[in-house]
This record gives sequence, C-alpha cells and structure tokens, in this order.
Amino acid sequence: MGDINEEKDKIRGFASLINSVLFPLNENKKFQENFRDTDAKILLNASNLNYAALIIIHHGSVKVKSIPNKPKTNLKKKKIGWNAFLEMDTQTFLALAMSRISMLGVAKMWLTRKVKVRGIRKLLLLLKMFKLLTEYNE
Amino acid sequence: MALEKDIFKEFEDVVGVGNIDDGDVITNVYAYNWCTEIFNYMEGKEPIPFSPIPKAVVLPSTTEEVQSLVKLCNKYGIQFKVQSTGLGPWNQPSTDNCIIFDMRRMNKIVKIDEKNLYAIIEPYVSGAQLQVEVMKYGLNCHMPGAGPQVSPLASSTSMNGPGFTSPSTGYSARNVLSVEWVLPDGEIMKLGSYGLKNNPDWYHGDGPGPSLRGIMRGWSGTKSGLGVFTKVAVKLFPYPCSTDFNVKGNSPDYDFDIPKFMKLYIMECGNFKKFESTILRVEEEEISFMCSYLCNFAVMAIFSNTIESLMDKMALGRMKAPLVVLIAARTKREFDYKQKVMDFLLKKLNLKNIIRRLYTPDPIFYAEALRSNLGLHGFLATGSMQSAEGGGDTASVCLRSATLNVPLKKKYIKKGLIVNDFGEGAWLTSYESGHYFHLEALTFFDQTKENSINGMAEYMENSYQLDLLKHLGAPFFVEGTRLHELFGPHMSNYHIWLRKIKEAFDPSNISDPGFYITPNKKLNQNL
Repeated sequence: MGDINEEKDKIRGFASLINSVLFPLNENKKFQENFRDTDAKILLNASNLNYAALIIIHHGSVKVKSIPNKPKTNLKKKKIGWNAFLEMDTQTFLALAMSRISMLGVAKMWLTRKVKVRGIRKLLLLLKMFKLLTEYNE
Repeated sequence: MALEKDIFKEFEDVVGVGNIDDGDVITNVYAYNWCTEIFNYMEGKEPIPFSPIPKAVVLPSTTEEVQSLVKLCNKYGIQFKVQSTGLGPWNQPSTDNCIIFDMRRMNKIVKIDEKNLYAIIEPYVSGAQLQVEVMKYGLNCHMPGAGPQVSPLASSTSMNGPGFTSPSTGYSARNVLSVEWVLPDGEIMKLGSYGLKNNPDWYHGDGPGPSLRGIMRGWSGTKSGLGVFTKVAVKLFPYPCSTDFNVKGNSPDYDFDIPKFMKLYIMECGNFKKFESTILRVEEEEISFMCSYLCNFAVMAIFSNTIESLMDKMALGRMKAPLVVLIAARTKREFDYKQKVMDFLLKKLNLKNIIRRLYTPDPIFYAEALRSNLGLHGFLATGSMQSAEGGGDTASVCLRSATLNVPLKKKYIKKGLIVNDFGEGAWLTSYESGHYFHLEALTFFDQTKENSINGMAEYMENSYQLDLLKHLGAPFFVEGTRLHELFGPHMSNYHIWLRKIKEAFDPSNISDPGFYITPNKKLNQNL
C-alpha cells in the first residue's frame, strides 16, 4: 500500500520542475516570516506539457502537487480550489522565473492570449517568492 | 573502398598483424564523430554524423612506424588523417581516399622533469592521465575546456585549447615546448631545444634550436593538415593547492574533502560594462586560478549532474553577468593574501559573493575544478552542443561579440531550432591574468532532428557574417578552405600565407587538408 501511495503522490513533469525551484524556500527564514499568515493555492499550467503544478502556500511553508492537465476540467477552480491561475508555455515560465521577461512583456503576451491569468493579486505572491530565492542569507 | 591487397600488406608489414583494418565494421565506426552532421550541412552534404568512410584504420606504435606509414601514403597517393583521443569532427577524413592513423598505441608519458617543469608525452596520453602522474610531484598541467579526457598533445600541437584554468595556465599554444613532428613527406622535424645538434633536450619550444611554432600550429592548429606529431613536451605548473585528494562515494555523486586553501566567488555584476571592469581589475591582481564569465544556465550547469538538479538552481539563473573566480593556495599565508585582495575588491567594486549566501556548492565541484572537469556539464542538457561566435581578443571585443550574438541567436530560438538559453549561452575566460580573453557562444541543439541540425549550422554561418560585419575578429572554429577564404581577405590575407605553407610542406597534399587549407589553388591576384 505504501508504494502505491508514494506513486500517487509523486510529483510529475512540470510540477517536479516547479517543486525543484520552490522547495528551497522552506528553509528560507525570510519566506517563513513574510508568508507566515499566507494561505493560498496557485495553479501553474504549462500549456505544452501534461501536468500542471499546484503550489500550496500554507503558513510559511510551500509544497507542490502535480495535476494532469487533460481533460481541461481537471483544472477547474471548483475542483481544485485555487486562488490564482497562470497558464503559459514552459519557455515563458523559465523566462519569468529567471527574470528574462518583464511584467510588460507578460502583459503583452496576456493581450495576445499566449498567457492566461486569473487572480492577479495572488499571483504577485509568486513573483515575491521568486525574488526571495535570489536574496542573500547574510 | 578498401585497400588493394598488396598495398594493405605493405601497411600491415609496418604496424604488424592486427594493427590495421579495412573491414566495413571498423571503417564505418571510424566515420562517426560528434557534430560531424553540422559540418556536413555547411558543406552542402546530407546532415548525418558520418564523414567519408576511411579506406583503412592503422595503429602505429612508434615514430618510425608513423614515418614509414606517411612514406607509404606518399608512394600510393593516399591521404592520411591522424587522431589521438579523437573528439570531434576535426578527426574525420575529408575524402574517401584517406587512411586514419589512430595513435592509441602511442600512449606513454615518456618523461616528467619535475625540476625543469615539463613532461614529454605521446599522442594518446589523456590530460587526466598526465595530471594524476604529475600531481605526485605537486605539479599540474594545462587542460583544455573540452575536458581531462582529451589529448594534451593534440591540443597543444593542433587545436586552440582554452581551458577553465587559462587565467593561470594559459592556453594550449602557450604550453607546447619541444616537438617531434613527422612532416607530410615522411621526414622528421625536431622543434625547439630537442632540435639542437649538441645536447638536445625538450625544455624549450622556440630556441635554442629551430622555432617553427607559428607554422606548426599558428593560433588554432592545423588539425592534422600538416603532418603527424608523435611526441611533445608540455609545460608543468605548481599544483595550485594540496594534492592530497580524499574522494569517497560513487560516480557522479562523489564526496570530496575540499582542500584547506580554496575559495569560490560568484559575483553578479548585473551588466557587461561592470563585468568588464570587474574582471580586468580582478585579473590585474594575478590571484585567480580560474576566472570566467559563465552565462546563467552555465553557472547552474557546473553545479549539476541532472536536469532536476539543474532546475533547482534557478535562483542562480537570475544573474545577468556573473563572474566566477576560484582562488587556491599552497600555504595559509598565500591564501590569506588572496582572500584579503578579494575582500578589498568586493568592497571597492560594491559586489557580493553569493557563495554560502545564496548557494553552497557540493564539495565535488572543487574536485571537478581541480581536475578540469567542469566543461562536461555543458553536454548534459541535450547531448548535442557546439560553439559558435567568439574568439580571442580583449575583454571588450569578446563581450561585444557576446552582446551582438544575442539577437541573432534569439531568431533561431524563436523558430524552435536551437535550445532556448535566452540567446545568452556563452563562456568567457581570461588568459594569463587578463592579458587576453577567450569567448565562445555555447549552443545546444537536437542531433536527432534534421531541422535542428540545419538551424544550428545556419546560425553558425550567420555568426561568421556577424563577426565580419561588426569587426569581431575570427572565431576560433574558422577552419577549412572555405572559411579561411572567407575570413582571410578581412585579416591581412592570412589565407594566402597559410596556403603557401601548406604547399611548401605538403606539395602532394597527403596530409588531409579538410580542416586546414587546400594547396594548389590559384591565388586571387586582385587581393
């Protein structure tokens, strides 16, 4: 049974990548402090891959789950209960995470429907998290 | 296309039974090499990773055997192509009238002179082998960025050879001392102090004794276009720190006791302008063992062994102009001095070292740095990597080249033909404490997809045009008649002189000119 559950909980594809990026925040004191009162679920869907990443921020900790993105109904707000949703291809996501695209650039992509966004206020949390990844531990 | 029986027999008599093969299996295998598909595409051939199939493969074991083989090639009008450790398309024959000399039986470290700091080696000695032997004397050797698996003889006599330790060990042309060279007509040439009539020895390349370093290899070598190098003396250096290695675990996740006096600095300069002033200032102090610009993905890659471990270093990927400096010392006093200088510079230049603040490397990084093994990480992402753009010049020209390359590269990224590195994929290193710089734009592509191979080749072609249009100098992969004739007219007509050298040393064109220059072509009188 244990093995089956492990297999079920395995983080897959794009979600695994997001987990690799965000997991170190769990040891970041500033993150723990700044996100102490935050409770949010952000769904990131890579339009060119098979799994979406559900980022769960819960009182100063973060974890990621993978959600199969087909059929599309899997990603419905009602089903998952996300507070924010972001869909783009992986290249754009990498550019965003590595600070190679500006918010203006993302907005342009949003206008041309290359990027889909819901719940923009909560999405800013994600940008704050990326920024924390590059701040020094003095 | 095999050899005629009586010719085969003559070659076999030289190297012995079992050391020559002209069967389909062996000759077809030798026709394969990494990145050959790109060069095929550039020459208007099918983009497959196979060169023309050699007539035979022979394995000589002595200089005398090499000499006899070359004479036989002259006798029968068959070209030869020489390979040592054999990495890359430069080892491949350019026609099917060619025999490959595989030098793997000439694999001896002939001498280590710890007093006069040089080692004499044969072609199939790898950098790793040489280094591990000279470490016993507390010494080190230069190794090219391609890695410790390649031949220092091939690199020092026939290739370019920038490496991660270039700030402290120079590049391959600067490391070659005396040379034993079998010319294309079969005569033996001894360069440097080995060529002296009285008391010949290997300690010097340019005299006392004959110096032909410029003709022998010039800037980037003849790639077997001008004979066979059978022995070479290369420089040795004091090892930068203690040679007591304690390595545990299994590949690739070894554990390593970091030597006492080593420290890594990675500083985000933010832009190339600040990067340039910083690297020049750091190198002026002559304290670094390594000193490189690595693009964001490359910084992530040198610490990673898998795609997963690459991605968890995405925070490093946010840097725009990182400077990577490794200092090492043999005594506490030396180490304290180097640290003090770095602390002073960081303060003065208002920079922070991200190591231990943002990221702490695994100890194996330090072992790989000492063993010149960082370049291998560049191959992990897709398996197909080649360099375009870049060359050797001042920091300013190299960084200008890196900057101008970005929009060109992005065009091919946008088409989905090459891997997305935001157009920034590049490595720059200082040579000899900032007296000179090397840049290459590393690019990944998919060897299994024809459109990706073609895209990579077209990108490389257009990067040559960019170099000419923007006066960026010659990239270090300018080789072969077509490219020499493209760049030569813009660079003092060097191609005319190159051809004259080829014609003088190899009038019968027996030494495969595929990656050098062909003789017997009418010179353009208008030039």
